[in-house]
Amino acid sequence: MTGLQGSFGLWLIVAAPAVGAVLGGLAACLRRGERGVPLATLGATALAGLAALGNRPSRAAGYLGDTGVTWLTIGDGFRIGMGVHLDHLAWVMVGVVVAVSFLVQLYSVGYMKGEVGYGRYFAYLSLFTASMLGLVLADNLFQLYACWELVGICSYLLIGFWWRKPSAAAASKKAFVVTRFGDVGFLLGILLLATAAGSFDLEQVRSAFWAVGSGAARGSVFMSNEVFVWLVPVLLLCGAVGKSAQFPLHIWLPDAMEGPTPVSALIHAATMVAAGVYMVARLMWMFTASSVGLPLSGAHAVPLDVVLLIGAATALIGATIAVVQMDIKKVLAYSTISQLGFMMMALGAGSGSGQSTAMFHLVTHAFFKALLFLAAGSVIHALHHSADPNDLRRMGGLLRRLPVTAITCGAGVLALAGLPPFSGFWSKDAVIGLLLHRSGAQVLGVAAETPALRLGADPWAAGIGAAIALTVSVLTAFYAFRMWLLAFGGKARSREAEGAHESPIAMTAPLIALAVPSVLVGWWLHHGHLLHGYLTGSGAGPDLEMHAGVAGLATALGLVGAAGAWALYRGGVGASDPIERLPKPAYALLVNLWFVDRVWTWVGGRAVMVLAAVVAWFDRHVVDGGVRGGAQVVAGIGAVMRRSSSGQTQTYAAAVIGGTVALIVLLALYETAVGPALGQATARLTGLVGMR
Amino acid sequence: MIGLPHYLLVGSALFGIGAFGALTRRNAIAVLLSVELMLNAANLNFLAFWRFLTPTAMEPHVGVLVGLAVAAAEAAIGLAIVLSIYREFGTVNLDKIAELKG
Repeated sequence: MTGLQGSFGLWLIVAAPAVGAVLGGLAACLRRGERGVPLATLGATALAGLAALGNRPSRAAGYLGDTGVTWLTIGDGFRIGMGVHLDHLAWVMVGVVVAVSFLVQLYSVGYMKGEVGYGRYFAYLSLFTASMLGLVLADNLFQLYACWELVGICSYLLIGFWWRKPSAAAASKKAFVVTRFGDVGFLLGILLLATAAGSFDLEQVRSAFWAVGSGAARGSVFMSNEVFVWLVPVLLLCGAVGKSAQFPLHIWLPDAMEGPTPVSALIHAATMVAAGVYMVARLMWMFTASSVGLPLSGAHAVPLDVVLLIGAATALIGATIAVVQMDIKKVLAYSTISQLGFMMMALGAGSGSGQSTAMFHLVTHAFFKALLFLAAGSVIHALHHSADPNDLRRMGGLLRRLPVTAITCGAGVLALAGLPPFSGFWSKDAVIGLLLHRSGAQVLGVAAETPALRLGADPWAAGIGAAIALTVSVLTAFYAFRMWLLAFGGKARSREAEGAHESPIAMTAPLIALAVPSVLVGWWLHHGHLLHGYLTGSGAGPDLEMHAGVAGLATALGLVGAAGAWALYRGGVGASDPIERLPKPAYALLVNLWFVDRVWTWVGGRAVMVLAAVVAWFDRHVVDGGVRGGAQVVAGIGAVMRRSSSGQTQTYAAAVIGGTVALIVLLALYETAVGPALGQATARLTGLVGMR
Repeated sequence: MIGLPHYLLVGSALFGIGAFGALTRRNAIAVLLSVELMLNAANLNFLAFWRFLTPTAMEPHVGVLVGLAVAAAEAAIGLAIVLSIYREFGTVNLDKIAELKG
């Protein structure tokens, strides 16, 4: 592996999957050797993984980087480059992306067998992997944004992979447009930063931002520095809200389930949707700038409060909606939204512990949620003759028929529910403990915080986040066990479920491969605060201590949720879902997805109609009026002027003579009357000035 | 005693008669004749100014010679144009010839 160290290896991490994508795309276009495409893309992903392993930044060392190539130079030295910046945070993310991508591609070999567009599918997956790695390794904001949009495009292409299906085409458009709402803010933030720094380079942007924060430089001509330091992070957060499916832009993620299930596992559970979380973690210095002891008087934690509260709202909304879903993938989609909310909440706790805890949950979630999606895909694959293979009501009794899927899925469910010793337990407990610590509430054995510097959100926001996180723990366990029981427990509820078979080895092998980290990675990364130490280079403070009280309460809440699911669903489900016995308004709220989609439709429709009316008026009256008015003015002038063109030589001659005479008369008048008068006036004026 | 003003008066009268004729006559040949009158008015002025103001200068003679040459050329070309107009339109009445009317 020594050959992979250094710049070549760093570039290979991104380049290998890109080459795989090109090869796959060529094969798909030429319709030649499509069966070999997975071989190329899997090899490319493995190569990227080897390159990442060979270039691991050690705990003591700084980042590995290559400033790379200059892409564009604008004006006098404004350089836009493409580079690689592999620091500890990026390395962890690269590991997750490469591992999940490899396993998902392997799984897809079985899952997508015989599909039209087999080669195209793998080319897209490889392109996504390359873009995602480019995003993770970006050393400047421009590259970050470009890759950010590239993964968005891959998401669009893969959600709409079965584009002949109208719902898939619509879902892909929805995902693209909704995330674009957030990207507008993201782009604005990037441009404000680049204007302030005169560069896209992250290091330069960072120092420029701190200069603005300390009042040494002006951030933007449009706003004061005080506004700049909190507005820019909030604008960047908009991008994360769109990409990471945070409330209120989470509505695209459930629809994205129209794509093939392995895609949901890779893009819409493990990696792309975590890009927002990663971006905030990467740029955490910006989010803390307005709350750490900068000379800005009256500094407050606006950006991190927003991060934390958005995460809390998302976690709650996602978990509550997941409880009533009957589509196995929709349950997982809302669960993903909810868990991404958890990561955002952790980020709200600020730099250091907040970053490492968010990344901890990101890593464990990536493994167990990818596992859950792939298990769901295995179930769907087994039931693909059914009218609606995603419907939990048509499943049941699959434990005996799909034992490997059922057991690995069970491991994922236990991890998601946060029961010890599965991975989700460790990371979720870390989030809750950290939030409780930051809230300053001295409960469950959590020590009061007496920090010299405030690094995170305000205590009241952390308190709200902790309360919601504990509530969501019950809900998470409930819907996770509900899903498992409905799919695998009880008796088969449809003919297809009775005749289901276990999936091929290409699909079960990745399930097993993902089940292992889903069980172990939490303890491994928590043990001795391995991840925190690696990411921050320092030991864990009291805010990361695991308290028996917190862990016990979270586990108890998880067991309550699991017990509730057992009580309601152990015998399967009939025509009506027992959850419908909830009070009517509550059930209506959940079934209607908290009306967020409808509000968006209404607002979007209204806004578009009003805007369209204004534009139509403008077009009809101003643009058309201008065009028609211009034509009329020209025609009018022409109508007057044509009368002078009589075509008769003598008229023209008369005009020439008349003009000459008029000129002579005017000249004579000027010489005799106007000229002398002007001369006198000038003389008088100069005389006046002279007298002064 | 006949002085400069008398010559100038005659020149102006000649020019005015020529201009009036050029603008009012309908016959193209009459218009050409009127233009000749205007040119000769100019020649007369040249000579009058030479005689009374700059008797030693030779330039006015040159001017007059140029004027005569122009008049001869104008008559030749003008008559040729009139001839081809007559062949084209069958008339030399300028009121009838208004092909360029907008």
